[in-house]
Amino acid sequence: MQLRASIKAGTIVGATALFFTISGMFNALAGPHIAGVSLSHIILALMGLWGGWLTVRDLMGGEESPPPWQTTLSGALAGIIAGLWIAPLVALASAIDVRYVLDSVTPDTITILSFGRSLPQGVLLLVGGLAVLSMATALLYPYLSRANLQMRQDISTSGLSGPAFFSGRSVRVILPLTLLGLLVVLAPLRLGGYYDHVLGSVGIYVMMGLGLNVVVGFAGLLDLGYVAFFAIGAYAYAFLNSPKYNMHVGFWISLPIVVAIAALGGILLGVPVLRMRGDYLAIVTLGFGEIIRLFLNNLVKLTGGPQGILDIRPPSLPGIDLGNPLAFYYLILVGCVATAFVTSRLDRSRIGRAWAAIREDEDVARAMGIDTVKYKLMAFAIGASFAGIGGSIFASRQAAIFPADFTLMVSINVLCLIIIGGMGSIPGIIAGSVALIGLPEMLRGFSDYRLLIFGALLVIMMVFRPEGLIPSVRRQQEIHEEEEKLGIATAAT
Amino acid sequence: MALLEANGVVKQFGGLIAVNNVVFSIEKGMIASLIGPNGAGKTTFFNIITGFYQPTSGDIIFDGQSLVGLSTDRITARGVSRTFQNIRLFANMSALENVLVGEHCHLRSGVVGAILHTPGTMREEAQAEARAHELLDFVGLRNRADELAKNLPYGDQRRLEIARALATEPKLLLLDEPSAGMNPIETEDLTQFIRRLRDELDLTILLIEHHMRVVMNISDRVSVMDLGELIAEGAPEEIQQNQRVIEAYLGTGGDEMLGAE
Repeated sequence: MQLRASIKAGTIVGATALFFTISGMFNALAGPHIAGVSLSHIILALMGLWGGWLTVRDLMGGEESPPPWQTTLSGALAGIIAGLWIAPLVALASAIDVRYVLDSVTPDTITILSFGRSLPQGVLLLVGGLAVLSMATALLYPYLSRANLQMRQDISTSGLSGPAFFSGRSVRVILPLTLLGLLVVLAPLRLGGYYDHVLGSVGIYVMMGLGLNVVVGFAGLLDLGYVAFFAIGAYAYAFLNSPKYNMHVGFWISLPIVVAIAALGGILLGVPVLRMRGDYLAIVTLGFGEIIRLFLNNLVKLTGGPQGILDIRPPSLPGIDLGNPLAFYYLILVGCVATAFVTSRLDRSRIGRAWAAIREDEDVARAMGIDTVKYKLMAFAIGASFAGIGGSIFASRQAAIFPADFTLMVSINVLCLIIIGGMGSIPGIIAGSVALIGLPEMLRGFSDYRLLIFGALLVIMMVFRPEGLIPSVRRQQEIHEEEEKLGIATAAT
Repeated sequence: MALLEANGVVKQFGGLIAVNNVVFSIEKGMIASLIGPNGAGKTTFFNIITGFYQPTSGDIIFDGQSLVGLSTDRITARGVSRTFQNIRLFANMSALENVLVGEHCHLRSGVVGAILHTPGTMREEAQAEARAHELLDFVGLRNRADELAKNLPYGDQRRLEIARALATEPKLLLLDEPSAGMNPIETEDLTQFIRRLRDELDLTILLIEHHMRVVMNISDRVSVMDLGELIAEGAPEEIQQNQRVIEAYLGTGGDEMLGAE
């Protein structure tokens, strides 16, 4: 039993380390140093600690905890097993040049993994180091978990005697939320233009995610052409605020016009697909998205075709310049907060219930007196409005838009971030945008392997946490109940 | 005056005539049963009344007005509500939410009210919730309000489905095999419960049912369908004796089944 836990933990850690090695991430991370240690060594060390933690957690899961000497030994073993996953590659690569096959395993990689030592010493150091670190967590784990438990108890007991605001739930929920809020508002001031821009992009996707969530998450209508409304919003704004038609309506007046046009677009898409469900709906909406893009591309006289629309004006407020990334960040932040507020209020209303009923069983929803036509169109229109606002901000921020900005990938990304974050959950969608839009930007250092790493993360994520990062309570129940049922079924057999 | 009247209703699916020239009526305050062998067209008839299907020909008059051509949700708003043969709850919504959905057409608040939480909307929501709790109480699910519908035991799911149908404030309640899958004790409870619905809520009830004990116990009138046609109608005792009905069910010599139950 102990052996199995070690092998399992060692394999998980070892495979991860191997992936890092082959994908060249250790090379990419070798640059930055923290306290004189390179980032790749720090990550390697963290992997060692992780191995010990995985092992002990597995061992403690049973009814009886094994004695400390046993867990410690298992931890060490896990570290050795993890080391053995990469040691052969290190040995092989230092003997012959493996770059013909694994083009990221360079001499630098070997230097990093063997700590600059010669072959036998270096590999021993690697395996031994992982073993020691893994053993260390295994040894310390019981104390750490006890301290953690004690701390939680302290919070909840002191909360009971303290003022109501600080009691139990408040301390755990409100305090971190306030800190997070402050971080979101203040951090961009120090981050600089590039990160402000990245965060702005994340924000635009948050708005679109929340909008599409109304259609897909609340009403259960699988829409793969969502980018169409983003494009409609962006082009409507561009028409109203560029030299193309010599109109300069201004951001704030354009906004309601754009919302109206996008909502109308939503209804126009909605009408022909009212009778469709599931896969069929997905295909038709997919087509709709492409049609809009092709229109933009080919109606050269109207839209400028592939040359796009240039010189789009940024928003302005009297006395304030809104044309820089920081100002856009705050504009987008306000948009996100407003979108989150509106969609959460709608979710918890009579309208939200009607959408949920349609999602669960459309026929029965009708039999309960819900005008499904009206509510489906409403979902499409509201979802489209938020994409329209996102499109306006996008157009004004980029100052130039092209049909190539509005490909199917945008729809897929928005849908992915909803699924990754947790369908129907507003905090989930924010987390999903950060993970899906922000992370690839952060990973730019890994250039070629960026999307590989990203894809691997998506797969791992869907295997281990199918309900999403921060799922809605309901969805979590749904998925885990099914697992429990399966668990019971297997236990019974 | 009859609450519901079907005048020569026909429903054809391609070459199959599922409901053929049915003439049928229910008086207000009645408990009527519709029985017949499987495939006789009973559920199709329900689906025509509730607007899931449009009749090929014929008319349905409810409360003095025709229902033909109206959408299902409009018919529900007029006061016809139903349950389903195979329970169709909103499985991933709580019992309370299921009932609240049923109240939908009697609530008015729209997008603006929902977003701004206007006093009118808040008041309406509070009333709706109170009413939903009342209904859950009435069907005996007082402590189950927050449970997901799919986690309720079978009998409770049936009750919840009725509570949800009642939330639409119907004048006519259509129950499609309410006792399916119930044991004799549950069936007896259900029989009492249906009678209570009529007496306490002033409802008219039409049920499709296979349990003859239920049918013969509570029905004021029994109608029998076979192969899409109405073949007999009358008080329970008359139907039990009716030779045509017995033949429709069991071929000749089948009186034991109807008689013994």
